[in-house]
Amino acid sequence: MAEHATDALDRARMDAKLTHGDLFLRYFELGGMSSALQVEAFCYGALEPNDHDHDVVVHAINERFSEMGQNHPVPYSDDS
Amino acid sequence: MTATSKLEPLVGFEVAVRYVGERVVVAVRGEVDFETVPHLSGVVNAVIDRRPSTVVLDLGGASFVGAGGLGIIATGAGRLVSDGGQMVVRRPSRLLRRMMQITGLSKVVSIERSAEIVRHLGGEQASFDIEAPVVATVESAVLSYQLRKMMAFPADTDVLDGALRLVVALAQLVVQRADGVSISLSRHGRLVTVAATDQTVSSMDAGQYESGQGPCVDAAANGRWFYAESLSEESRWPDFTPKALDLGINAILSTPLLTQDGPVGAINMYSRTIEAFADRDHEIASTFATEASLILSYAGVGASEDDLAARLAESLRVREVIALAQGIVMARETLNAEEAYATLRRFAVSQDRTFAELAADVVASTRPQAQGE
Repeated sequence: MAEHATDALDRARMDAKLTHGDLFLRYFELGGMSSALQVEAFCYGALEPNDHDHDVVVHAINERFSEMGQNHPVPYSDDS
Repeated sequence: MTATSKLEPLVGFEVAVRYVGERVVVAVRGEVDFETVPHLSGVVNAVIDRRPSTVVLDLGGASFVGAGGLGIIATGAGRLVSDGGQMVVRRPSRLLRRMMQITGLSKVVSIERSAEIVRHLGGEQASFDIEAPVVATVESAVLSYQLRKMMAFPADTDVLDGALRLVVALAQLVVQRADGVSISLSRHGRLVTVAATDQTVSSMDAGQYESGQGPCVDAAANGRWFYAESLSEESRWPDFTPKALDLGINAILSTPLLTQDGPVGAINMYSRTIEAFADRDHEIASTFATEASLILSYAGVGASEDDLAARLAESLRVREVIALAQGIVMARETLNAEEAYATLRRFAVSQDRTFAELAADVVASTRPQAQGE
C-alpha cells in the first residue's frame, strides 16, 4: 500500500470547497464502495485507503477543481 | 452442415444461433444487461417464431445475467410451452439458477448444468467455442460489481425503500441458506423494519424490538455483527430465543449498517438450518450491508427529502454506467476491475472530460453505429 499524504486530502477537499457530504456524494457516484464515514476518515488520515479508493476520492476532488477551472491538481497514486 | 447465423451488434456481446433439426441452440457470450437484453430478446423471439420444439439457451459464455435475462427466459418459456415446446437453459450461473428456483421458473424450464452434457452433444453446440465460462461467482468483488449493476432502476417516489427492498431480495437470492432477510433501521430512537422478504422475517424482527434482545438489536447498537448459529443452544437472548424457535428459525446472522452517524441498523439473515451461515456468507452479508449503508449514507447526506429520490436515482444511474464501462474495458483489455477503472480515469483526465462522460462514451461505443472510441 502506497503512502498517501492523507491530511493533504482534507486540505484539497477544503480548497475545492466541498463539504464531507458533497465529497461523499461525488465519490459514491464515481462508484466508490466505502462509506461516508470511511471517506471522511481517509481525508483526516485516520484510515488508510488502498490506492484504488484513494484515487477515487482524489478524482472526486479533482473533478470539482476542474469545474472551477483548474487542471486536476491533486496527484493520483500512479502519478510519478 | 447446419445453418448458423452470427450477429455482432455490441462489442463484447455475441449471440450465435444454430438450428439442429427441431432444436435450436442460442448461445450467448458477454453480459446480458439492459444494453443487450433488447437484442437477445429479439433473437430469441425470432427463433421461437419458427416454432421449434426445443430452444436451448446456452449461457455458459454469459459473464452476467441480470433481471432482464430472467425475463427473456420466462417469456420465451411461456411462448414455447403454450405451443407444446420447451425451453432448456444450459450452463446458467449459480446465481441465475437460484433466481430461477425462487421465481418458480425452474419448474417450467429444464436446466442443463454441466459442461459434460455440452461435450456429449458436441455437434449441436453453437458456432463459437466457449472456453471455461466466466461463471458469475459470489466472490465479493464480483458480487459488488453485479450489485451495482442491478441496483440501477428507474426513478420513482420510493427510490430509497425500493433500493433497500432490492438489497434484501438479492441477499436472499445469493445466500443459499437464508430463508429470509430484512433490514432494520433506527428511526427516532427505535428500530423498525424497512425491508423484509416475508412476514415471518418481519415478525422475527418485531420480536427482537419488543424484547430489546436479539442479534439484530445488538448489531444495530454495537456496530458489529452478531451470529446465533444454533438458537436452541443460545444463551445471550433468553426472552427472544423461544419466539424464534417457535417460528422454526435456528440461525440468525445480523450485520450492522454503518453510516457517518455510526451504526444505524442491521441487515438480518434468518435460516431454519442450524449453523446455516459459513464464513463466506458473513462476507456476502457485509457486502450487502455496505451497499445498504452506502444508500443510507447517501440519503442522510446533503440532499433534501424532495431532492433525494431524483438525486439518488441519478447517482445510481451514473454508478451503473461507470460499472458498465469498467466491465467493457475489463473485457477488452483483459484487466482487473481496479486496473480498468484507473485506465478510464487516466483517459478522462487526459481528455479533460468527466469520468461519467467518458464512461457513457465507452458504453455508447459498443453500439453498432458508433465510430470507434
